[in-house]
Amino acid sequence: MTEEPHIPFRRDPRLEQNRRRASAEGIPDKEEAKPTVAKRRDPRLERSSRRAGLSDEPQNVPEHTSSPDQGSGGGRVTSKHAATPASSEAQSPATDARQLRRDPRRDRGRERHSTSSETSALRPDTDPEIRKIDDASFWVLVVPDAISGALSSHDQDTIAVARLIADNHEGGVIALAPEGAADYGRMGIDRLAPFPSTNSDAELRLSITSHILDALGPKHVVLPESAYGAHLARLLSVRRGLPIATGVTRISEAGWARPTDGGRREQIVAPTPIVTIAPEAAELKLGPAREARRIALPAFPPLESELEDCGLLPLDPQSVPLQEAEFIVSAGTGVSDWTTFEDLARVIGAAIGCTRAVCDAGHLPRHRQIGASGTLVNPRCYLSFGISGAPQHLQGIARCERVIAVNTDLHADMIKRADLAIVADAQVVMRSLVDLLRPAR
Amino acid sequence: MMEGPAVVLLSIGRNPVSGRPRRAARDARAVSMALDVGVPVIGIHAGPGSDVLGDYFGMGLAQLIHLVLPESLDPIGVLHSQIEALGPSLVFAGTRAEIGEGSGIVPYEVARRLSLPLVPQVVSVSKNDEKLQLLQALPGARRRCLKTNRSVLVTVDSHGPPLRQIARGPARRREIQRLERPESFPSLNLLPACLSERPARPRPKRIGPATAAKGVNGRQTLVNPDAETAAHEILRFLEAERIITPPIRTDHSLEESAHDDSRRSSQASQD
Repeated sequence: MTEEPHIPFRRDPRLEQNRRRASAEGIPDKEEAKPTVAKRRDPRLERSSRRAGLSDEPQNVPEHTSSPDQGSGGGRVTSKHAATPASSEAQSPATDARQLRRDPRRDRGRERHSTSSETSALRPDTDPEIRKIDDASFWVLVVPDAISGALSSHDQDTIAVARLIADNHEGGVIALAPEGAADYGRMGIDRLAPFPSTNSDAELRLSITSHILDALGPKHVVLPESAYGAHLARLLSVRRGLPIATGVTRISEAGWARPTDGGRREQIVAPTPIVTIAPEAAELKLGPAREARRIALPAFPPLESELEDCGLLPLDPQSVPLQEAEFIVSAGTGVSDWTTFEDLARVIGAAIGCTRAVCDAGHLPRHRQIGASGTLVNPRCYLSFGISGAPQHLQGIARCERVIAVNTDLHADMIKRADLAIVADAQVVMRSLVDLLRPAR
Repeated sequence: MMEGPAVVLLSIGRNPVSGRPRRAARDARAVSMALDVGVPVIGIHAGPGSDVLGDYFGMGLAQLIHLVLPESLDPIGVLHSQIEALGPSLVFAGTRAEIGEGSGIVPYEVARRLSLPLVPQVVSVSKNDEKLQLLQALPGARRRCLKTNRSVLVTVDSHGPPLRQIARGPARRREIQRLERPESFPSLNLLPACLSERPARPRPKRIGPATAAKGVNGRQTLVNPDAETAAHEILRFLEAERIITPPIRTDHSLEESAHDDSRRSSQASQD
């Protein structure tokens, strides 16, 4: 954890100054919500740890801001999620002190320090905070799409709904999902039925789901109302004769809400064995860990299909519909080397997008424009080159899950929006990316 | 089985803005697709009638059978017996109706009763040397090619080529074949019990990515890194997020950071 990173990172002088001032004056830092919670003293927590015969741990240990300079690049780490060893040590004795009551505030604090408390998440057996269910009153099976082995936000919403259904009546959640795609324990999964991640075959998913239905008899099967989930849910419903509620938008005590009449009316229906969930029906909150114990599945023989699968068609980055694209490489006025840009899109396998200014200049056709007056996109990842991030453009990418920005201006809005921001010239980075990727593909 | 006509299940849609009846968009796309296959196409509509059924004629459909049913009755039994009588080589359906329940279960039930394989999200269908070639839309704008030499039921969503225009002449002239079906069929009991119903209210949209989906990797800013470092960092990010598959690099300059690499990616998947 304390290993020195060898990549030069940016150091934010303003942030450091604020933190220094805050620790000197004892004022909680307003801008940084995360350290604030860690520093704030929790009387309940202190009382309980005193009762357990432990000395009162000081909570307001000065924040470990940045690691000393070591690399040749001359940069330093400043990350919002930077590990804070001091505060994690301060928390561990209290963890041992087996509290009877859960403290939501402390849970939240721990959640924010996910990177530092990771070691405990890795050893579920030794952590007293892990909630185990041996005999649930009923089970809820959730089957996320997990395209290419990662959980989309729709998948996460679906898991959240499954947890909600289970929580209302003290049930447990089983997930049929690829291993390692996420931290299932903290998503509220009690059992995990590992599934080969890349396989999108509906028949295989159907037979595994049917097997779990026979073996464990879950009361509800929850799926996303998406390409794979919608198909699988309906197949399951007609083959096994189980009632289905589709496109459920809300779960409440009164019943489940689903749209009818083309979204004009809303029905409240009684809970059904199979349910498909509309996007944004619930929001997943990473809570206290559950065990996500693996269920052993028998080997399923490859199924004889009546359809001959001739594979995927090659993706043409120029003609992929932007609304559907999962991964977009986008260019702004900072891009001047268009051949490298197109090469990059081809080798990395992404759809091409651009800003209004690029379209106006005639470098790319109008249907490639992303933003308020172009297409509103929702890919899983958006890789932008030379885009400063006009509000209209940021509006177009508001629903992107991950954003990588390469731009020369450190203070551009795009850099602020990005999960990975690189302050460098787009041409150079594009060229070296192409060089890296080309030998492999 | 491959000689039969193509059957398209048709429904009446509703304009989402004006609320007036229209051809259902997904069914209309199915008609466009069916007409391109090169076999005779028969449209079937079960339920109460409407003038807009003529619009499907206007798209080039030659025959349309209307199974007259009151709105309250489940169409599945009637549909099944009628389709079975036609012995189709291909059945098309929209994924779900624009009015009524709109659960999208009807094509699946029809496919089960006719024991046809169902292929969802089809973009185009073509026939060459007695084999059907289906193009299926997958998430992430990918297209999968499927081939078969038996009958299938395909469902059509909003993907695919634009809709055919409506020619008003044929839309008015051609005759809909009306069939009264006196026999009664048991209704499908796969739909949930409705407790109450009310006009839908618009739900607030989520702004930005969900909290749990946010910032798993943490935020990073690299200022003026050399191009190599920047490129490596981008690839590492993409691999950790499973956007691209890991064994993409065979670069030896990376060996020193290989350990660091694996630690980071495992950390990302943990979160």
